[in-house]
Amino acid sequence: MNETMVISIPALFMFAVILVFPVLIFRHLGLRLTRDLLVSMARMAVQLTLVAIYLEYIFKLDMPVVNLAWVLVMIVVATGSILRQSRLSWRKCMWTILPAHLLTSLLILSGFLLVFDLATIISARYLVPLMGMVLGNILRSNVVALDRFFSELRAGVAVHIQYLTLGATGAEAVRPFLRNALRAAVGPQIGTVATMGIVSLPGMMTGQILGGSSPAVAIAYQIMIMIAIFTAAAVSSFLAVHFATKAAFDPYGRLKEEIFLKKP
Amino acid sequence: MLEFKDVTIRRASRTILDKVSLTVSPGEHLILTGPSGSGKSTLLRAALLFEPVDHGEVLWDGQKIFPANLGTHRSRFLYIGQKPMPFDGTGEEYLNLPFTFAANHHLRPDKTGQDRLMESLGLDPALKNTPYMRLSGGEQQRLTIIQGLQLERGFCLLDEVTSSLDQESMRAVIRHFSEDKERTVLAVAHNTEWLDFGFAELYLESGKIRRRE
Repeated sequence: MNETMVISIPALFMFAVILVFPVLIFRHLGLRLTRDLLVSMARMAVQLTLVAIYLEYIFKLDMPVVNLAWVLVMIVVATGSILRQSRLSWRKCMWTILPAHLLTSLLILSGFLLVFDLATIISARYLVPLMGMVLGNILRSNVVALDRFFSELRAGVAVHIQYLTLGATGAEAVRPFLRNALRAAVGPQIGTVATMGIVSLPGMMTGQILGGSSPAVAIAYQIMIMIAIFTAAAVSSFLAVHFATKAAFDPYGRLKEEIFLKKP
Repeated sequence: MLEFKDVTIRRASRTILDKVSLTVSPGEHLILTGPSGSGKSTLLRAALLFEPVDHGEVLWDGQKIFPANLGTHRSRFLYIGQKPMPFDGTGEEYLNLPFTFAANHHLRPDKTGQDRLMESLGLDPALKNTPYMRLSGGEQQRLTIIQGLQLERGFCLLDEVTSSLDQESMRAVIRHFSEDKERTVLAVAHNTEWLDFGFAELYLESGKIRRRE
């Protein structure tokens, strides 16, 4: 197997010079995004560096308990990030929504057991990148699902009341909102899956090929991870909204305003 | 009998209802008018306990409503808003939606009854086979009214249900409710057409409600 060519730090800084072009475009259009762009890029570099140091350590240690604990940290951070982006209160919703992502992760891990043996999947080299890809890719759909669900529920409060007076239970009355939220969350992903390989060369496959794997091996991994990501996105979005409804209503079926973060 | 007793509702330091006392007796036909934002919709929602009440009580036959008897309380009402929900399926499936709820499993939709209601509100019964989302706003609104009317609900709370209707279908809807002497109707309305059909007027302004003769 060929070793991947190492990118030196000075070379990386040289490469960053091409950021001049987006900056010039922003200036040309009078967009005040330059600062945000540079801060985001710097943050990304620092975070990845820290994670790299941490992962080096985890990979060297390679203890199943530590690996699983790291996945747990990823799950909590993912849930927190989803709540922040959906402008939901961390304090009111963390414990109700976290199980959605724990259950989803458990499901995906069980799925991986059909492909790998236990010792392989809980080794750092497999567990951390695979679960990292899955969790990283469900953020978007969860945010869309929660955001759509609550914004439609607030705009359509009359419909919610109407269904409840027609005899619907709490779950039956939110079903149309849940359906719309899920369609918005995972519908576009189905389209993305269909163009995979033609429009976009997926990241995992690219990484593996650069890492020296044969394209055949890389493709098998890519197909597996696409199935895992889609399943996780659909299941976690559904569960997140489902659990959120448990925290969202008072005994009179009214939406609790305190679960939302006040807009600054 | 629905009763508001000294009901005060405040939202963001604004008093929407200010010690409102109101009794609606069985069979009464009322419209609720008043300037935009005066709290008419809030009052309808408060009747169903969907709005937290800051002071006072909403009573049914003199009884206070708790979460324990809330289901029973709400099942007395038919509540219809001004904008129907998007729905995947045909007009007929939309009409049958309430019968898919577990609480209504003992009931069956009455097809001829549906057709009769459609005709009386100026809708061609053949529209039942049309996908709901392809119907016009006014057609969707009338199907929503019929959807609710199928259930035995004695008290109708209507929140500007005629706002998306043309003159003719609006009068058909108002006539239908006015001829329904079994049901109590409390309708939020901007137009005074309802008065021609024998509705009495309640006027809400600055948190106070009064009957207009």
